[in-house]
Amino acid sequence: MTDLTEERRDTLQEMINIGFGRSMSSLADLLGVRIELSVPDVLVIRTEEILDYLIKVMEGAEEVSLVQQGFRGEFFGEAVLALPCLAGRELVAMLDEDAGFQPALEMGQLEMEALLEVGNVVIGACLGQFADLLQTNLSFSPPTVLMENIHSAYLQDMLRARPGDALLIHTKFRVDQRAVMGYLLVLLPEDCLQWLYREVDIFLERMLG
Amino acid sequence: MRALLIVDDSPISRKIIRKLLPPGPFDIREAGNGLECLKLYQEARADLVLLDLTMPGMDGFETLAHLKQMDPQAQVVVVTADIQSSSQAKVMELGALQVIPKPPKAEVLRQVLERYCP
Repeated sequence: MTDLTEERRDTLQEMINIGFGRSMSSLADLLGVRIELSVPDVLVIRTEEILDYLIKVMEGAEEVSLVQQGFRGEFFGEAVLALPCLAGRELVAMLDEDAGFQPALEMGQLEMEALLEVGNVVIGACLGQFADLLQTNLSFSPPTVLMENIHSAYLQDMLRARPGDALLIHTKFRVDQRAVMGYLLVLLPEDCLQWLYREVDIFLERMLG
Repeated sequence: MRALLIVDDSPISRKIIRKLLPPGPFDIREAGNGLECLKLYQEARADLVLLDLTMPGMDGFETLAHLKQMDPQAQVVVVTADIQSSSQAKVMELGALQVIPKPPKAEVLRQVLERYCP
């Protein structure tokens, strides 16, 4: 049984940083804006603690838009792009200027489609690049979007579905000149942590010789 | 001996850059954040600074601006995962010589060193 050592954590953080840089570049192109990135956090967390962690990082946002996408290959898991609800609507306004910013409206088809597109670009580019660095391939399931109160039973059930440890990678971005912040969480179940640690060691060996 | 300053919050990233550098002789110093970079640069100027952008606290943009203020002749090459064209434009405007996307390649680092500190 191997662990998430400091060296592995640092390496994973750097690999996700590279993946996230790629995905933010794609998102910036899509939205026609500049995006500020932050250093990702990598931690191993009990799945039952994920929701509390999410509540903490969402900094008081009650209503959240979540784009979820599963990925599968030599390693597997789920990526969740979490945006405070109003941030999701700002993104819609950026994607479709004709729609404007409509905070009072229910999430309509347009908003859902925009969130799916944004989620798909961010998750696909980030994990695609991450898989490239590990010299492996991933296939992605179609993304799904939901807007929920962060304390809802549905979210609690979803995030606590598989008991055990999970690798949680959390990174935050800010869309320039707008108060839009988002968080990308990559959840890898206990089953593939050992595989991932081995591959990270191989990556390091390849880079450092 | 050419003096290099590698600035990155990730120890692994600094290690990788060191490993990929062509054979020296180099005097290599490392900084884990922007403030440390400025301090080291002030103590002894480097011929070339390899600077990350996404760092906690003072990020690479701010560090670069301060470096150029301290020494308008400072030679800075940005090594970053932030590959947005707007970021590239911003660092070039701030006075960077070049932007290298992460992970860096040995060949690119060799060319950079040949070009900016032969």
